[in-house]
Amino acid sequence: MEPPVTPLHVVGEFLRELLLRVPLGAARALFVGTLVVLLIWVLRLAPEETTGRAGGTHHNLKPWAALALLVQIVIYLFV
Amino acid sequence: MGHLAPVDLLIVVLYLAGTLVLGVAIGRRINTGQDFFLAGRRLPWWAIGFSLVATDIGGTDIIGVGGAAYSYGLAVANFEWIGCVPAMIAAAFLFVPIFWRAGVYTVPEFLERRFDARVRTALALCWLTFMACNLGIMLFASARMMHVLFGWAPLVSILVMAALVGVYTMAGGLAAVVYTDVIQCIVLIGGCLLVLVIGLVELGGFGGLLERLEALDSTTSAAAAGYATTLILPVDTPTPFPWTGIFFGLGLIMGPAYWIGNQAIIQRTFGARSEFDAKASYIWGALLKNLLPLIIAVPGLIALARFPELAQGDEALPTLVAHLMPAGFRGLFLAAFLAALMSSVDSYLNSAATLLTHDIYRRFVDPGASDVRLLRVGRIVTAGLIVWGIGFALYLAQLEGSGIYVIFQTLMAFFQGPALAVLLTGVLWPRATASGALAGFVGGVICSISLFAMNQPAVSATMGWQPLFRISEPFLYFVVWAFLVALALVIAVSHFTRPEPEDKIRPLIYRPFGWSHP
Repeated sequence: MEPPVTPLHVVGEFLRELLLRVPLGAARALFVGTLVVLLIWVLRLAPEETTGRAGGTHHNLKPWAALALLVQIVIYLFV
Repeated sequence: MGHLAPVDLLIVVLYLAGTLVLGVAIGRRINTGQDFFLAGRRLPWWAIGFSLVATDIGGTDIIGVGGAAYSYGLAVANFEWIGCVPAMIAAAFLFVPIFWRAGVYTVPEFLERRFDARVRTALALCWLTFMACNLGIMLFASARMMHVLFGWAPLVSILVMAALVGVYTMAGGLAAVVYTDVIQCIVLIGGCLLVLVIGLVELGGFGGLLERLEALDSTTSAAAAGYATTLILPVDTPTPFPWTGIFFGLGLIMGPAYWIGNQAIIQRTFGARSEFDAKASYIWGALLKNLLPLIIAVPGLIALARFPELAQGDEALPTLVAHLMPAGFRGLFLAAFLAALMSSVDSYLNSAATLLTHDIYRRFVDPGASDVRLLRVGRIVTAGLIVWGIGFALYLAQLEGSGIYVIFQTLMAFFQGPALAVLLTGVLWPRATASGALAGFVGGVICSISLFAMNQPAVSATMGWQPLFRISEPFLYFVVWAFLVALALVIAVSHFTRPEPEDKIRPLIYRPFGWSHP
């Protein structure tokens, strides 16, 4: 006889069955898509939010943040 | 790992002496509480970035991540990649500048300004309990590892580590912690890089490694069963890393909660010499984080290819080092291990002292305390926490075998989801109120504890129902539900309570495209 379940078990099992149907390719797209959205947000940030002076020189953080995210996108596309 | 040559011991002694001398030298320049807790707000971005990475990688992680890669494959690298990099980038531009401009010492102090003293105290008590206990847990876990690796008596390891870290942290505060972390991060990366390079040369490069992994018998380990070099694993994977837990639990909740709300991590940006340095430190840390799995996870795969019959994953890295590293290089690896251990213990020690001094002593005992008095209190509290850490580590050593420290770490992780919900709504949603934040935090913590309890085998057996979760370590799922419950409660209760005054919250809210600089 199957052990009794609570409403939480029902909800959990429903979600589990649903997520089991998601192909791994779609899961990968979710990882990469999230990183791409973050990259677009970074690239659209106003200059005053990403620039400043350090050690007497003017710097822009945007290219470096974009680089960190691009490396992640490549990793999650291919590994 | 066995025998160490005299040259190995010399390298370790030189590393430890160098760290101690630097930390104590910095301590001579500490004159006020702000010097001690925030390094006088003079820290440069590059030092904070190194420190962030060093703090995040503990001594047990060096062995544990390699061991998990050996057992479960490269999926463990998700904790360094999707669990860190996106959260660090988002935090750099959303949260770090607001915290830095607020000029606070602690995250709970920020929450009092945004909400009220109840929210501050609730968060401070949770973080303080977590950090104080984590001190003992880190000392105990590392001492146990030193016993396994080198045969050192746990009591000696605990006392020596606590004394070394305690002396320079008590003398130099956050500045000593950050600048010794710079050395420790470089030693950590250098030592692990050596293992990677020598291991890859032995196998004929990355191509040789992949060939050996593909040739493994699929019954050898979980990693060999097709998972060795894959990041995204199916929902029903036999490993603890299904993609659902990694994406929703780690990537969206645990990672941001850690990089935004963990006092031991974000406190060093409060001490940055400028808002730009604070932001740049997180970007620099994110760039470094991209490299870390290569040097701490891939050696586990090299061990799998080279020694596929090990009984436990945690034997992977020590076995690799013992077989591949010549005399002198073993000392470098041991120095890297000690660096990882010390850089985490010193950060948690300093941050726990900051919480105790500012969120408890200054808030409730002596609100008018001078900066010099706070320095004295900070040093006394640091000394007290060292004694506590030693005592708790020795207590855990008596309970060895019961796995209590793993359970404790899991339990303490439960408030991270609710804490993130409070921080997110606090900074991004002006309508969030103090009562909403308190209800969300308390409700979220109750939710996590309930889910944890309901999933315990003893509870399931007594009630006659199945466990709620199917994977072995479902904390990545608890945290999602706790976050969602907390978020729903913050929103619901805020709608029924009076909004916070606009003047009070204006400088504490993120407004895009320069709106935050009226």
